Parts: sequence; structure tokens; C-alpha cells
Amino acid sequence: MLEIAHVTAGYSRRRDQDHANVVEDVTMRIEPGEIVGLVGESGCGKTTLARVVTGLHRPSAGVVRFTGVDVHSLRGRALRAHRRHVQMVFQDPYLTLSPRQTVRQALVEPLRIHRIGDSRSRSARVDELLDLVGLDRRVGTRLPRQLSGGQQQRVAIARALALRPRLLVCDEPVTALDVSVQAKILNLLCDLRDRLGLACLFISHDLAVVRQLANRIAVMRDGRIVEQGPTLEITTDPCHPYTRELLAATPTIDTPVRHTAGSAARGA
Amino acid sequence: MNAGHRRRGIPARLRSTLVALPLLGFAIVGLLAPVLAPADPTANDLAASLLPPSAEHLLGTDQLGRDQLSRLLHGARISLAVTAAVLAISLTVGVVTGTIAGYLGGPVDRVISRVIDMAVSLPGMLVALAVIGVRGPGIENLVIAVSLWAWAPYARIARARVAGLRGSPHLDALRLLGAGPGRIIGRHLLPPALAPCLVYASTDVGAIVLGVATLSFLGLGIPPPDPEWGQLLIEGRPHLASAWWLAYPPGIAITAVVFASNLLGERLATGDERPSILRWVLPAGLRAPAPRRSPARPPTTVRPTATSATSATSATSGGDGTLLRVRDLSVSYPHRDGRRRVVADVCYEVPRGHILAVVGETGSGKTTSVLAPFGLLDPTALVIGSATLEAGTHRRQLVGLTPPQRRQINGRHVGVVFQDSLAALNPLRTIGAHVDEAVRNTGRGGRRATTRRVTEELLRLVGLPDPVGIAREFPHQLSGGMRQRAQLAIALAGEPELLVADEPTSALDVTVQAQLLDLLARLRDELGMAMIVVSHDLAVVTRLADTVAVMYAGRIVEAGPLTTMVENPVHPYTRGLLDAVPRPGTAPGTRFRTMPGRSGTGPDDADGCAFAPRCPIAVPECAQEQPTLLALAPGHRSACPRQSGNATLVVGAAPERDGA
Amino acid sequence: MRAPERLRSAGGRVARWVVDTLGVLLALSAGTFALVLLARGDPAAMLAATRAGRPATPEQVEAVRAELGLDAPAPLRYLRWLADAVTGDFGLSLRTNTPIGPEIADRIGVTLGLVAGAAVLALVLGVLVGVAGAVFERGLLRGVLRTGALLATSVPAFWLSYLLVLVLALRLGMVPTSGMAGPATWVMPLAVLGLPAAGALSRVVAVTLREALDRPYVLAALARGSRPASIVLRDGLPNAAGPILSVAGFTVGMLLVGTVVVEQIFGWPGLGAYFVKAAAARDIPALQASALVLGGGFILANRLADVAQVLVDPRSRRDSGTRRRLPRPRWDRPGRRGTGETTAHPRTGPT
Repeated sequence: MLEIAHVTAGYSRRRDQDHANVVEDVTMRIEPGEIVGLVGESGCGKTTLARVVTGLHRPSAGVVRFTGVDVHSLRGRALRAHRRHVQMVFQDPYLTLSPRQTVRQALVEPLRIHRIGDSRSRSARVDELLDLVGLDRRVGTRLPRQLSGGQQQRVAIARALALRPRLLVCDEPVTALDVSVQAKILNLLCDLRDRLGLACLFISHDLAVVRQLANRIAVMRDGRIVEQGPTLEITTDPCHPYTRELLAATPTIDTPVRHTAGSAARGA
Repeated sequence: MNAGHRRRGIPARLRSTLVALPLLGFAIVGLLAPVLAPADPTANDLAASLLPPSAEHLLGTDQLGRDQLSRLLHGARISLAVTAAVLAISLTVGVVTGTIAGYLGGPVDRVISRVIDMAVSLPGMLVALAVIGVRGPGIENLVIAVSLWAWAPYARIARARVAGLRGSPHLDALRLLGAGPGRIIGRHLLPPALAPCLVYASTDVGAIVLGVATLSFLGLGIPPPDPEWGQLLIEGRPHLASAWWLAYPPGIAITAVVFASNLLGERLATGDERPSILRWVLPAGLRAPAPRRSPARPPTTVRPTATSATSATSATSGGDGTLLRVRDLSVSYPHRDGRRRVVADVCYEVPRGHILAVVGETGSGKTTSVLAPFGLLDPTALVIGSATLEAGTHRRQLVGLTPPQRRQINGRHVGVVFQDSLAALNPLRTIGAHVDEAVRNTGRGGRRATTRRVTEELLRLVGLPDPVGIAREFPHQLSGGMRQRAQLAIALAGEPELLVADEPTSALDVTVQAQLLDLLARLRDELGMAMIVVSHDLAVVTRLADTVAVMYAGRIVEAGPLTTMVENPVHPYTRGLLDAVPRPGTAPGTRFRTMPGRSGTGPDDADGCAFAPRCPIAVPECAQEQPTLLALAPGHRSACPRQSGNATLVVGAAPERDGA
Repeated sequence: MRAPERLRSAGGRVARWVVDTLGVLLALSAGTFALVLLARGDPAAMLAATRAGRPATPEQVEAVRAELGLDAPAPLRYLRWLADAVTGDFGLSLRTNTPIGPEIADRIGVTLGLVAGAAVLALVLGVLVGVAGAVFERGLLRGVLRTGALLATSVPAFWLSYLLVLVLALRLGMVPTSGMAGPATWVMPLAVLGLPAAGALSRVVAVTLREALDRPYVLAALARGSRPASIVLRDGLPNAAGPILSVAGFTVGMLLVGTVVVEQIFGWPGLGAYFVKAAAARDIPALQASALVLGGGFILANRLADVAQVLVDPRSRRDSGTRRRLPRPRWDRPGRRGTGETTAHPRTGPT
């Protein structure tokens, strides 16, 4: 469904930066109903890749095709139509919501922009969305700052779903949340995939989270995908030394043996 | 305008309104001047010239026998008219220009910004004087002259705000939803740009009133006979010595309006001033008296007096190897009318050479309960309870120490590593300067070269390559991992017995995190140092801790040896927390077991167990009585009365709600 | 390898600062010149009238117009005016028919002396009061300082002068009411000019210092056992210095502008009084000249403060852009980046 072919992207001449934050020759595919995890450390270019995929950032080389159409060749009406298919969820939900809009207003906004339905059908759709992401309908009248972080992220997800997209790009959607809230949001994403057949590009620095969620994993380092494959294959039999290092460094609670110096970093 | 609990009766919002009252009076008087004024402000009556205040002329008359009060009221009208006109023009021009520049960016922004910069860097008064100098006085020219420079700050503020929002995820999300530029600017950029401009306008009112009066005073503003305030003053000047009523009222009027405007602007811009952290270091005499405690919920323990502290000490100490012993520690902050506890009745101890991990979610009070014994909280915090440290050879009560006494403990016996390494280091000082200071504070320094040698040794100890070079670097020149090591070097300067690390690895990449955890483990082994590590991540502390304490809503709910806590937890919250942690080897797509509901907030919000509303094994009694920690095994305590080990957790299968 | 780079960037910055400053000054001069275009009335007629001592005939006006070169197009006149102004030649006053340049040279000393005195007063008082306001917690002293400072910024200078005249000169007879003769006459002008500036500066010092003392690094300093004096001097003040310097520059600039009022009130023969006289008489050449000098001084004071601000902050120095990191594992060295890895491990999922 989504095809990223040899994409290279960067920012125009930023001073004092080597090739951090730049994507180099990335090739990936995402199929319908599939969650693909993209793992990498800060500054490896995963957010830039997300912006390229959603069309917010123009790649300097390569193409992104969504159902066969080059995303970055679209203009005007065609672009607006395409936008409905690919939506994004960001790391800090509070920053992505307008502080002045109530939850209902935020959820109606995309319907208004695309002139979908009348006020009654919009209201029904908002109720539907609130149900879908597991929010109480009474939450609708609140402002974002009156919600918990988990609720805010649910609102952000609901808004992204308002236009019935086929692909959801999630950029570190649980990083700002507590572990117990994180678990709920991850469950929600799994449910949405199963129920709506939604495809998802799940970007995270946390291999532990990704490996429990994703069907496939791509490991990114310095702008390149160093390794990608089915989750179990990557986590049990990594080929690339960086993947091995990541796996060894990722904390787990299955090894409650007292830690001694030297065993964590050089696990592989 | 001090801390919230000083003037309890008046909420901050009301106080802002009070401050704005003179401005409101100014506006009303200005609007209603023709109605309010007892006489025609321009009607001469030479027979009644220079009369002192009387029942007929409340503020006397001037040299032409005009009623001074009427002239004053009409003066407000003129000031108000000019101010309103200038504000309307400059706000509109400024906000529109600034928003356009900020939204478009690129070359347009560069050109407009340049113009704004120049306009801001011109002296406003001079511009106004020059414009009036060539165009002549009069209300119209006055408005033009003042607007010419008054718009620029608004443009700058609006531009900065919009430019800041331009790259924000909020706008990205809107673009992805298909919103066009018109909708984005009109609905999502103009309103936030306008808000700070209005705050600035509250100060600007004063500046404009003052500017207009000054111009009139110089004979370049409103020409006579119109009664502008500055004009009134210059007309009264020859009679300064004899007719005081001509000199005081207009000056007081101007000062009052400008003062109110300045005060309001300062309040809106900075908010209510909080007491500073420095309060901790001021001599005790300069500190405010201890705020009263909440009458509603009196804390269960009292602040230890000198005697109770020593008696507690003698009862518990005795060289049992316990380095730090915390008993019934509660921390409260001022809240509406009273105080609100954020940490309640916390007890923990750290034996020498052991690592205690304190785990909990946001707002559970984990950091507060760990930093409280060392006086490293916000100054509005009230700490009660007992915390004793075996510092060197004798045991010291830490709660209630004076700042000089604290300096004997902090840095020498206890080192602290904070979460945000960039914020915890002074950006203007080199790493070496920080460590040097720490070394000198503990008395290990000497001559500059000696101190620096110790510093370099410390930097080497925490695994920083090239200590000589690193010492010369500024904090922002190092990566997060290196900065965290630098903080560690500072903390180790006094060869402390205890290291307190607040989320030491949270901001770091996993590979760097693993290295740092390695380092901490190594340091404990090599230096025999005890540690308290605060973390939100259970998985992280399994790499380090001997003992784990789990906090929920300001209380410790379970504490015990690491293995027990991970393999055999008895408190349902601990189990829930463990269930939420991703496990290796789980098939992709496996759902997490989750706890329903939201995190509890404060220890006193519920009568009973704070976790009861979310607890799968709760019984009605749970919501009534506050559970206490019960010992289950040596070192293992839990605050769940239903734990006995047989109660099985029923995991809700229904889709959970995160609603109200 | 780093030294020349730093030097080059420093040189570049100085050059850019100079160019920027010249640009702003040029804009000021253009704005000043443009005053002519805004003017009501004919300067030539005014000068001709001054010379003749009565309303001039059309012939006289034309003669003056030709003499002043007012027939030339505006840009050309601007260039001529600017070229003359740079050499200190500002033409003839319409009011007195005397050269303006020497007049300004005569008066500028008075103004600079007044500004220098008031600047010392404002900076010393402002910083002291500000630091006290930031460090002292609550209490009467803090409230008095804060209210006093706000009041000082709110009182109109001209009214403050009334109060001082009433008390110091008329009631107590300590100083003369106006004029410039002897040290006693300096008291009131310095107070009227310096006190409001001190008040404004002290608020900025108090607020920024307070902010600087509210940062986590102060907590960290407490955690390592640093003394309060050391925290204020090493952590607080340096971090507050940037905004303080910037406002100090602005304050000095505003003092220069403030002389316009103060010299007028106390009858001092300075540039400010000259400016007001010119404005009142619509003596455009004199107005332009004094606006250019006063405005130029204001801009220079601000620009110099910007330089000082950059000097105190290591983060704004260009050479500090690169970050040190811990050495990476061997396979990660730049010599062999993970470029070939995608093809080396071509594990693409189900397609």
C-alpha cells in the first residue's frame, strides 16, 4: 500500500550539523492492516522520514508511493483528497491540539475542513470517534489542558481517524506517557488495526514497545535502515551489530538478577 | 504580590482586577467626562481666578478662573481618545504585519523583521517630537506621531509567537487534515498572536498616556485651550509656589494611570511571584514564618522539635548499617486555602552500600519524597517527619536543618544527580568550573592547580575521556550522556556516602542509558556508595536496584527486595505496573493487561486506599480506611490488606475507558 | 585548527555588526530627512522671512530656494544633505539664520555630561535595588523597593521636577530652581532624569535575576553545598546579565532622549532643549540635525549593549556549535559507515 523507494531527505544547509536528522536511501513497504515499527535513537532521522511519508517534507531523492501514486507529485485538490488517507499522530498530544478548542471542536475540525456532512451527522461521527478511542462522551466539552496525557493522545488519535485514513503514522506516540497509560494506547492501536484494518507506521526509540506491537521492525541508524524484517526474526536473530546493541541495551524485567558492571552495554 | 498563601483571602485573578481598577476608572471618566464635569472646562471667569478648592470648585480654579476638576475630567477624555486611537492603529498594524511575516517565513519574513527591528530601535519619543515638529501640534498629528513607533513592538511580539507556532506539530496536524492557509491563520494563528499583544498593551497604555502628556507639556501635543493633563501642568507652572491645587491633581492623575498600567502589565507578564529557591539559603531570620497547616486535614505527624528528633535518633540508631532512615515523611504545598499533601507518611531506609530504587508514575511523589530530606524542594514545600543520616560518625536529623547546617551535609555526605542535565548545569560556566566549585565546597580543594587536579581525577572516574579538555567545555557542548557523567563527577566530589539520582537516564538513548547504568553499578562496587535511584521505569531499575519501593498517589504502596518485587509482587498496583511493561518473547500484537481509570493524584484525595477505585480485588472497606504498610517477609512490606497471596487478580477483558 | 576558525567567525561577526549598525543609522538618516517631505509650510519661505525680518516676497523666497538647492529631486537632496551631515555641516537654522553645526557642537557637551551623570545614577541605583528586590524574600524592604521602583517609572519627569522644585528649591531653598551653574544645580536634573531610569532598570534586574535564581542549576548548586553569595554572583547574575545589559543600553539611550524634557524644564543649554525649540518653531534643518545626533546616540547605546550581551554568553559564540560525544563502537566510525548494511542484510518483509 505504501512504498518508500530510495528516499533521501535533508534540510537545506543547517550550520554545524553533520548528517544528523537526514534520511539516506531508505526503502520500505507497508501493507494494509500491518503495523511496522521503526526503531532508532534520537537524531537518527526517523521523524524526518515520518514527515516525508506524510508529505510534510519533500525528499531530495526517491519516491513515496501510496497505492501507486507518487505522494509528492500531488497538488491542490488531489493533495487534499490524498491527505485523507494518511494521517499522523505526534509525540506530545498537547502540542498538536489547539488549546482553545474543546475536544468536540477539535474532532469536528477535519470534517469542516473537508465539508463532510451536516452538523447532525458530524455530531454523530464525533460520538462514534469518541467511542472508538475509548473516551467518555462527556469528555467532549473539555479543553485539552483539562485532560490527562493519555486522554489527550486519544483525542489526537480520534482526530486523525476522523477522515477514515488507511495509514496512520505514529511518531513516538507513547513516549510522553506513563507506562500504564502507554499500555492502554498501545492496546488501542492494536484494536484499531484489527477493527479498521488500519495500517500503521509506528516510530519509537523503544525497542521493547515496538517488539510487542509491530508485525515488522525496521532499525534505523544515522539516516539509514540498517536492518528490517519480521519482528521475531529481528529480535531473536539480529544480523546487524547495532540491532544487537539495541537489544542488549533495552531494559527488560525478565532478568531480575543483580546487575554487575559490564554486562549491559556489551550484551551481544 | 507574594506567595499565594500570604493573602489567602484574595485570589490572584481578583487581585489583577483590583490592579486594573484605576485603568477602568480612567476609561469611565474619559467616556463620561461631559456628564461628570460640573462646569465647562473652557469657560473663563477672570473674577474667580486662582481660587483654592471649595464646595463650588472642588479642585479650585486656574488663572483664568476655569474649574480645575472639570478640566481634569476632560483631560482624561482627551488622553483616553488618543490612547484608544493609537492602540487600535498599532495593534491592528502590528498584529497583521507580524502574523504575516511569521507565517510566510523566508525572505518576506526577513525583510519585515528588519523593518520591525529598525522601528523598535528608534527612540519613540524623538520620532513623535520630530513628526510633530514638522507637522505642528493637534490631536490628529499626535495620533500619527505616536502610532508611528507604537506598532513595532506588537509586530515583533506577534511575529515571534507565530514563527514559534509555524513549525509546531499543531500546524502540521492541521495541514495534514487539509486545512488551507486562510483557516490556519485566521482560526489558529491570529488568536494566539493577539493574546501576548494584549498583555503588552496593558503596559503600553501607560506609556502612551505618559508620552501624550509629555508632548503637551513641551507645548507640542494638544494646543490650548483644550485641557490635556500635561497642558494643565504647564499652565499651572507660574503659580507653582502659590496655587498647589494646580500642580498636584494632574500629576497624580497621570501617575496613577501609568502606575496601574505598569503594575497590571508586570502582573500579567510574570504572573504571581513565587518565592525563590534561594529562600533556602537566606539566613533564617529573613525567612517568612512557617505557613499554617491545613485546618481540614491536619498531618498525622508533627514537625520534629530538637528533642523529639534526638529521642527518635537514640531509639533507632546504633550502628546497624542503616545510612539513611526516613520515617513518616510528609510534604505539603500551599493549595487554595490551606495546604495539600503530595507525599504522605513515607518510610524508607537505605543501608550502606545498597541501592534503593523508588518507582512510580508522574505525580506519584517519588522525586519529592527522595529530595525532601535534603531540602531540595520548592521553597513553598513544608516537610515534616523524620529523616536521619549517619553522616560520618554521628547521626543527624535532616528535617528542619538551617541552610548552613545543610551545607555540611549536601555535597559532603550526599551527592545529587538531577534528571535534566542541561538545566542542572549553569550554561555560562565550564564543566571544570562546576566540579572545581564542588571540590572547594567539600574542602578538598586548595590552590587552583590542586583543585583542578582533583577535578580531572573525578572526570576520569566517571569515564569521561580527555578530562583536561572536557573541563574546558561548556555544558551545551557535551552530549546528554556526557553531561550526566559530569553531574556525577560533581556529586562525587565530596566522596559522599549516599548518591541520590533523580531519573538519571530518562532523557538518554537506550545505549547511552545502558552505559550509564553500568557506570553507576561500577561506582557502587568500587566506592561502596549507597544510592537512591528514582525512576518511572521498572525495567531500568531491575538492572541496578537491591530494593524497590513503588509509590502511588504520594504513598509507598509496596517495598521489597528486587526479586520479590518483580517475581512475586503482592500489591495489585505493582502487578498492574509490571503488566504494563513490554516483555520480550511476547508475540507481536499481544494486548497488555491494563488498569482501568486514571492515576490517583494526592494522598489525601480519598478516605481509603487511593488505588481502590481502579483495583480489581477491592472490597468496599478499601475505600474507607487508609491502609498501612504491613511487613510480609523481612524487608517486604505492602499496603494492601487483601494481599495474603491467595487473592487472584481478575483482569478486566472489557475495553477500558479513559473517561471522566 | 579551531583557533583560526574562531578568529574568522569573530571577524565576520564584527563586520556584520558594523554593517548592521550602519544600516540602522542610514535608515535613521533617511527617516530624518523624510521629515522635510512631511512638513507643512515652505522652509524656504521661513528662512527668507527670518532674514528679511518680515514676510518675504516671492523673489526672496525663490532666491533662498535656489540657495538651499530645494529644487533638486528628493533623493539627490538626501544624498547632498547626508554628505554634508557626515562632515558636521547641517546647514542654516531657519529660526536664527546661523549655522547649526557649531551650535550642536557647543551644546552636546552639556547633554553628554547630564546623560553620563544620570547613567551612573541609574545603573548603580537600578542594579543595587534590583538585586535587593530579587534576593530579599517578602518583608517590608522588598515591598518598598518594588513599589518605589514602579512608582519612579510611572511618575512623569516633568511632574517629578515640580515636586522637587517645590520641596528642594522653594521650601528648603537648598538648590536654585533652574539654570546650570555649580554643583547644586545638577541635583534636580540628575534626579529627574536618573530616578525613573533607575526604577525601570531595577525592575528588569529584579525580574531577570529572580528568574535566573529559579532555575534547576541553583538547586544543583545547593545540592553540592554552595554558599548563597556564590550562587548569586556565579549562577544568578551572569545568567541574568544578558537581558540586564540589553536594558541598560536601552536605558542609557532613553536618558539621551529624556534630556529633551529635562533640559527644557531646568533651562539647560543642551541639545535636548535645542531640539524642542526647533520643533516648536518648525525649524526643520535644526530639528533634523538634533534628531540625527540624539537618535544616533540612542541607537549606538543599544547596539553596544547587544555586543556586550553576546560577549557574556558562550552559547552564542559561533565556534561552540559542535557537540562532544562519547566515542562510538568501532564499527560505527565514519570511515566505515553503515552504508552497505541495507544490501548486506536484505531482509524485506512480506511484500
